[in-house]
Amino acid sequence: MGAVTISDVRKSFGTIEVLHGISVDIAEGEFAVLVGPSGCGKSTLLRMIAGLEDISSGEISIGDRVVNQLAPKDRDIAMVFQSYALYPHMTVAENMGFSLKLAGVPKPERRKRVEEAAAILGLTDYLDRQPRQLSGGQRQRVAMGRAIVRKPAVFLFDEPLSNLDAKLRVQMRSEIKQNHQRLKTTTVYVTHDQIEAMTMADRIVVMNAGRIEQIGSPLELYDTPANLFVAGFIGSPAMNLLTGVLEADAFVADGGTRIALGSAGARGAAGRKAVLGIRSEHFALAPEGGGLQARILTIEPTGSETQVVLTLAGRDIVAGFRERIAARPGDLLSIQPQAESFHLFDAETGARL
Amino acid sequence: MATVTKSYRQNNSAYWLYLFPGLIGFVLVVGIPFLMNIGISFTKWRGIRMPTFIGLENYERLITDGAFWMSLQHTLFFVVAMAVVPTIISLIVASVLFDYVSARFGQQMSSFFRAGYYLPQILPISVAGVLWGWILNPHGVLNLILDATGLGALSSNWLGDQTLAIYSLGFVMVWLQIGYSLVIFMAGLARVDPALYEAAELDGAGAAQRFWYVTIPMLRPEIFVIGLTTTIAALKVFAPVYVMTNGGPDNATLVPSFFSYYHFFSTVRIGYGAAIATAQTAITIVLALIFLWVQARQTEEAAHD
Repeated sequence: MGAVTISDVRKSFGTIEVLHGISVDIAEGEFAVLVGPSGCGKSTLLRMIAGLEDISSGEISIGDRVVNQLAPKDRDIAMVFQSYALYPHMTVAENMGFSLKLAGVPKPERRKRVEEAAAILGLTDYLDRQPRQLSGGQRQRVAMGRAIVRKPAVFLFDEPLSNLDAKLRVQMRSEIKQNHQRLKTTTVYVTHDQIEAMTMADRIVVMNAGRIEQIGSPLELYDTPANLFVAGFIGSPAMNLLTGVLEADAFVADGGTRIALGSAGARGAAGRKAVLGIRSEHFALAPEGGGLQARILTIEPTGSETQVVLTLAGRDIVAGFRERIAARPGDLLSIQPQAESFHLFDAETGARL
Repeated sequence: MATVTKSYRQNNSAYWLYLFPGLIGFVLVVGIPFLMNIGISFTKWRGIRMPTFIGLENYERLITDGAFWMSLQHTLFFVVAMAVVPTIISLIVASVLFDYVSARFGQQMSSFFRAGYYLPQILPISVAGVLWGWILNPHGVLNLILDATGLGALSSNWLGDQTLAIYSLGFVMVWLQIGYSLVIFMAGLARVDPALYEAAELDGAGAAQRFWYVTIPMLRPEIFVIGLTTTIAALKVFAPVYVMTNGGPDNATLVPSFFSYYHFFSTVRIGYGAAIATAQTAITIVLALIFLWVQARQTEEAAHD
């Protein structure tokens, strides 16, 4: 019932097209995250699913109904807003039950459903309070409660955690995830935070400048980014990217540093300008004098690992090691990038090689 | 700590200095005349020679004066015409302009309408009054239009008819007042989180329900201020009555302000005029205090729960 099908959807504001033909299928019960930098069109797409923005062309279906012409209230969806959008003059219970009241659900039934949702969210003791008497996290829960009582086919979340502090954000992240596992309602979740996307999603849709860059599970995106944009966007710390030229068995970075490509070789692109991507965890310490020599800029031990910022081939790169490192900033460190984990991208198109 | 408190207090007393200019103005222009007015209301005075003290005689006469009670009834009518009706209309117009016009036809169109509704507020009331006097006179534009469109049967002596006059005045007051509340309501609406309306829409609220469940509660502070200021304006309305009907015909549009003016300057019963003005002021102050008390209670509730 709750699958969302988006086919070749476009959106223009006046003469400016902001979404250039988006197609995504979100399966029933799936937790899909739309992620991208601000201005990429992810919120616009969500609002089009909700019916708060017109669809310029293309088609959106929820379940087996095309909803292009349906009013928001008839789309069987519920939305959680970034600002929560709680009615400030109503109590928590009234906020949560408002849609049921408008739908003409009798009072006892209304109360029962509000209490059920409140129990799931731990809001039972707060039902008589007004939103301004609640903390940010509680308001967030009320906003979710308002969505849950309607038992919609699809939940839509628009950056719901942006207004919370870092600690609460982590906590609410896992609460939202747990609720999804319990309710199994199809969810479309918009965020600009790739960590939220990685930790919560069944599937991530990476968007940039009104286009989809890649769709895949969090680890697919992490392990095989389809292009430079996804490579740079997904993962923290961000993937190290070096520009240079490919030879048959090595990558020659712009400064002349040669990095051996190992068994995978140049993937048929020898002679081309390319970008080499190496994640921070894909460096090993080499014996003194072996591997590549990189100058240490800073060392950040976290206990479980040591993050080192180094200068390699004229670029600042980040490498993480399980070992503890005795060297000091300014020293040279011998490192060995692991060729089997290299990512190569065409320098012109940005596509994965 | 004690020294800190003390120095604060000293600083505070320095602020009083800055209140002086305004305070002097208030005492000279409002305070002293008001007290003198109360004093004169206990006298019989024709404006020349010395007033003679006659105790409560003016007030005794006032409560038996049919014209005074009639003017109070008209005041109630003006509260409806200047406070109740314009507030309701401008609430609706403001949300239509804000929600519909500016969304459909752009911000500029909505600003244009807002300016149009506000125009009567920047016209001097005397000018507006003369203008409407022309429109509403027996040979005025309104009757000409009615005749020309075959509705001649409806044409009337709008300001000269005993029963119609006050409704005509009321209509002009509505026209005059809408702009004021409209501008304040639109400023209030700009403050409301647009997501609230979207959430209400998703919750299944139609336009009327969004108005009732979102707009009105969100504009409660504005509605309160508008209610207070326009009610006070209605209690002391004078200029439009003076310009358009002179309280007539046959006292049909008489209001307390005009009534006291009439006795001050036409019959030159200054003591009696002062008594009317004092009674009117007392009524206004009592009503304003009730308003403020209700508001204070609401704010307190809001702060405590």
